[in-house]
Amino acid sequence: MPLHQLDDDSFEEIIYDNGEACLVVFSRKSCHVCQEVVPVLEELEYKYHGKFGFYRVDIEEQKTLFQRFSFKGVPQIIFFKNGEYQGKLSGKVEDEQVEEKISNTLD
Amino acid sequence: MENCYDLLIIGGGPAGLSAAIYGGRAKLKTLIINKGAVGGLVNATREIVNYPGYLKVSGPDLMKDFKKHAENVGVEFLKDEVISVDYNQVLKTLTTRKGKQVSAKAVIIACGSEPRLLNIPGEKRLRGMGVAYCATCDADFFEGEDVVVVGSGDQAIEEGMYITKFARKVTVIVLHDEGVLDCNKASAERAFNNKKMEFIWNSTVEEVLGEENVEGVKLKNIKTGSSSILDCQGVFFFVGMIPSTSFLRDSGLEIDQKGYIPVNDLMETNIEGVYAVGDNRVKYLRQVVSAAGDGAAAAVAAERYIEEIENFNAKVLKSDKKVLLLFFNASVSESLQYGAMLEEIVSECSDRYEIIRVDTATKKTLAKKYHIKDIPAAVVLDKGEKIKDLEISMDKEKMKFNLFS
Amino acid sequence: MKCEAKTKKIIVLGLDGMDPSLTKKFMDEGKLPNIKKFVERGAQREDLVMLGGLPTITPPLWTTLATGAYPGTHGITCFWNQDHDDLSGIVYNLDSRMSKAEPLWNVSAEAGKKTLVWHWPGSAWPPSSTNPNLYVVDGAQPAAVQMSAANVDTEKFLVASEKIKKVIYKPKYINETGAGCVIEELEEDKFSAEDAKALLERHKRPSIVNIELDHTRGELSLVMPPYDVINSPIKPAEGWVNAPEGAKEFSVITDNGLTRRPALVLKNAQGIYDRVAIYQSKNEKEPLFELEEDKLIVNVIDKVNVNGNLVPSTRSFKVLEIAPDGSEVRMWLGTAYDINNDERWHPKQLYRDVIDNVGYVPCFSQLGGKNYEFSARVLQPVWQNYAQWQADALNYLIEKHGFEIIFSHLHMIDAQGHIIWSFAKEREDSDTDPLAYQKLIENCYIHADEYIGSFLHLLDEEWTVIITSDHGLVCRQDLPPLLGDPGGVNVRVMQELGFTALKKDESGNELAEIDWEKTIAVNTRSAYIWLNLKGRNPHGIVDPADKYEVEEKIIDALYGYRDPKTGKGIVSLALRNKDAVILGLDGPETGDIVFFLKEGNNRTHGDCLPTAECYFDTSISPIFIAAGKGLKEGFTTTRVIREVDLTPTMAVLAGLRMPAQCEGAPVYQILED
Ligand SMILES: Cc1cc2nc3c(=O)[nH]c(=O)nc-3n(C[C@H](O)[C@H](O)[C@H](O)COP(=O)(O)OP(=O)(O)OC[C@H]3O[C@@H](n4cnc5c(N)ncnc54)[C@H](O)[C@@H]3O)c2cc1C
Repeated sequence: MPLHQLDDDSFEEIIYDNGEACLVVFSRKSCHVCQEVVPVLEELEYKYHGKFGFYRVDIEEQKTLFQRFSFKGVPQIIFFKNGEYQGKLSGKVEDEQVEEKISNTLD
Repeated sequence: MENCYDLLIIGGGPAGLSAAIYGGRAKLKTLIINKGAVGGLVNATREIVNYPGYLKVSGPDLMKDFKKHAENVGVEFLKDEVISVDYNQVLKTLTTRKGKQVSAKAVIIACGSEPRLLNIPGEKRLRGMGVAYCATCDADFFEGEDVVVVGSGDQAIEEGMYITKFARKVTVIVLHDEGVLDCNKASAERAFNNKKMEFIWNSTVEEVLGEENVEGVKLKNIKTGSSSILDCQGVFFFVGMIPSTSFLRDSGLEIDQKGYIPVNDLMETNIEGVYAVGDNRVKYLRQVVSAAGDGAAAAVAAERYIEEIENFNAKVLKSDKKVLLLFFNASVSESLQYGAMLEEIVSECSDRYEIIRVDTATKKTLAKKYHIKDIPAAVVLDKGEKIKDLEISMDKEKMKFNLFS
Repeated sequence: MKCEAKTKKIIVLGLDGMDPSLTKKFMDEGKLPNIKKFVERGAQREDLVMLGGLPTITPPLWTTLATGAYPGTHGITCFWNQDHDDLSGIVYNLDSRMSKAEPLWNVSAEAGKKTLVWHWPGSAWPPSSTNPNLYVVDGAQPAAVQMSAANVDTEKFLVASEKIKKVIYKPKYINETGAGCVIEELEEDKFSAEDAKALLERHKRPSIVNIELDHTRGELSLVMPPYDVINSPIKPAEGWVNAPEGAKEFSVITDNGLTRRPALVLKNAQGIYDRVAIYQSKNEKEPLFELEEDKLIVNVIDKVNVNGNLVPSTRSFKVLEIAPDGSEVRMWLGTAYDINNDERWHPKQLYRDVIDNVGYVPCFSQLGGKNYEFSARVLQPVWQNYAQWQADALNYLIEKHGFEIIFSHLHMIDAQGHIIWSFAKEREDSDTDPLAYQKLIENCYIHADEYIGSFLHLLDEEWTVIITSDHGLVCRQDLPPLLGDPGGVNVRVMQELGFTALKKDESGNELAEIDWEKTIAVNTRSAYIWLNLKGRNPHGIVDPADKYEVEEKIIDALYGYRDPKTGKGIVSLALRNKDAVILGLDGPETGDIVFFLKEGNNRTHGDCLPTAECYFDTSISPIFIAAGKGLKEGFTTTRVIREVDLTPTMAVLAGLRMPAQCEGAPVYQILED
């Protein structure tokens, strides 16, 4: 299933107001590394359903959000819990790395 | 059996997809296991101008066509990564990261290669914060900035030139003496004429500097040994590819020091029923077209091989006679004489036995299955079950006794 | 050399950029009562002038003040030193390991005197003596204590409004217009965030290349440094556990965009919105803290998210405006400092001691420039608060620790000088009100007077107090053609004169890069010109045999150069390296040629002679006022007091030996007989 996409408003609401433990992947269509990483997340989402949120931001569409974090490249996966940033993973990552980070975030 | 196939292909790049198309068309039950996006390395190539039939095509588009073709002939796909293999049985078994086990009569290895990491300080820490491996993905983040490209092969130079569309300046760090690049001549010439491109010769990158973002690189001149710092906001590494074959290290498969798999014309490896194709194998040219060619050859070879083992199985299992498996090797003249003698005995004396010759030079798996160490050797089977090892003697009378007592 | 001590305790109150001309002006107008008392009880020149050293730049001159050696001798020759491998490279200079001269504080510590060096931006950090009598606090960056190591989040300005549609966080924004801080759209920046960050954090880099094609990467970058801008919609409060009736909400984004604190605009009993409450999250019942309009709140403790780690830090706030109907809020957020960072304190326990007894180190601000409101309501009060904290800290240390020799430095005047001085005069590109800015300059001196006043009691406690500075600051005329800027390579004039060439791209556009194959010489780091010499410089083209002649040609060309706008020459003095010994600027760290701009053609400071004067009675000269034990009382001298003379004067007063490289002479005339 494709990941739920966030825009400026829903980012505020879901990440900060709801404070859900979750990750947000910043990606773009023209990036083949993203095309590999996003499916990894899509599969994991299934496994973590109800325990951990998975979201996506398309940086071409959400330029303000992208600019806010001053990233230098995609994909970038950032992790949040209780509205606090918990760290990130950049570039090509395997599902194990994501799962490790998820379990650290949930701890 | 659900997880049992005729043909398993590890890797869904052009080599794997071509093999699958041939396999599918030969009505083999075929599965591609591929960990990333189907299409492999080609997905990272913006433009392909040397694949026959296409004047110019984007890598991902070409691979979409390959994939469609494979799907069309009934190939199955599994998105997973193979992490270990067992080639010791006639039926080969693969285990995936997600814990799945699948087996097949033949396996084609088409895992391609992955970018080499230099493992220098800062490379990992600053990944995504200025350290990049993909120009198409990230070049435009460096608009108006200074970028360093490490390497001087085709990829480094071509990607470097693409980056100049965005960056203020691209500095290429080259190991060799002034004027020497590893890439093709045409690219080198264009690079030298590109005013935004600069070269630093005889040098390597020792460290990527920066706290949160890349701020520079530490260079080392390998001739003089002196170090210097070059300010930049981005570093792209194109320092070559390494074959993705490390998971095969302990499988008994022959792999050379660099990680490539030696094969013969039929793409056969040292293990029967296992083939290696595309960028994985020892070869002269690593391109899409040659990868595709490899895939075709391997699939056809596999098809024959499968046919053979099926024939063998049919013969052994369906035979109402006992089967005499006769192991020989053309280089051991004794084994040939012995074979001739046995055939003579069987044709003279009885119709209780059917003889099947097994060439140990090619059918290693069978030899292994029946624990054959020395040849000549012969095994007696009944309904596929082994009933005895035949004691070897060059004395015809004694052999008759062994066979019929 | 050593003589009998005339005093046991000396404190140097160094005030970066303090100008005797302005001081005298405001003092004579009765606005600086404390300084007046020092002058009346002290011994100095009538005009309060100290003859400034050269170049008129912070790190070399504070080093001179502490060592008695000229820059040519101690080797710290500008804000940056020269990268000898690359003439366009400059090397960070606020590092004691680069100085070749012995500072007096090492001498006093070794003589058994408990010595404190407080944020001295000239070869103080890291401590260059291991003697346990030496205490050193920061000095690795000119602005303020803790900035060099503990800052974990940059200063910000927030505009929240019902008219704003979405949350925007624009990191490292350079607001050239000085207008409000509402980001209309994602405009293409002239500066990238990276550039801006590099400007802000120049001090963290050992060596950089800064090719100046215009003033934006030099002097002008100091007027309006980058800061983060936050825009947020204001909406009725929604989803809060405990939001009062009528409260409106907005978002405060910090920590490189990583953290959001929800905030409420609250109304009073009369229904007027007059407070802002900032919360950890909407689920909290109580806010982290509340803010009122126009009230500076310093050192609120919050956690700053640094790469996923929550670092307890201090931050300061000031709300500039709350619209009575709650429809708009504008507020400043100061730089956040990690409260556990004691990296720049020696010995480290000094940090705990100070923060436990005096309070956390407050931040300073760089907002202002053309924006009068920022200048008046943020920049100045924030510095005033910082100066008060510093005075408290020094007085605490004096009282509790029995220090006998103190070298202290406060950057307040110089910091504001770069940001607001130039607007004391009408500017073509700005509609700022010169009179209002002149008033700000006066305020700044009043704050300096308050700071100095905090030490007046020392005169009655057997202390000798010396008030001094490295250089003054002027309200400049128009910026000169691009020559003499301290921040890097000055391209334009040298290019026009045919000595410096830039590379070009395929389409013939200039690149910000020197074309060494065609470059004869470059002007770099304000006063210096280096020839691109064969055998010495990697891409040298000038034959060493022609060096003398090329130098002469360049010197002639400099003198002959005319500003196209005014038709007048801009260079007052140009010397070969060997001749520059008369200014203390010879030797390997300066340049083949040393030159200075003419009065009236100069920047705020740094590029002209120390005797230059300018608009609104400003001058480049440093100040010297000395009072207390061992000095004549109410005495004036006509003796020329030079910067190299401070150290020997202090040595004589305290009965210490002269530091090894000292080149000055004691100001005998002011010493008590
Ligand atoms: C920058 C660049 C430009 C190029 N340009 C051209 C060009 O213009 N024309 C041209 O003809 N060739 C070009 N090539 C070469 C061409 O891309 C390769 O030769 C070709 O992709 C090799 O195909 P392959 O199928 O062997 O491997 P790959 O394309 O690398 O595919 C291997 C696949 O196997 C998967 N895999 C690996 N390990 C496992 C595992 N354990 N389990 C499951 N799956 C696994 C990988 O994820 C990948 O999808 C270029 C190469 C590069 C690097």
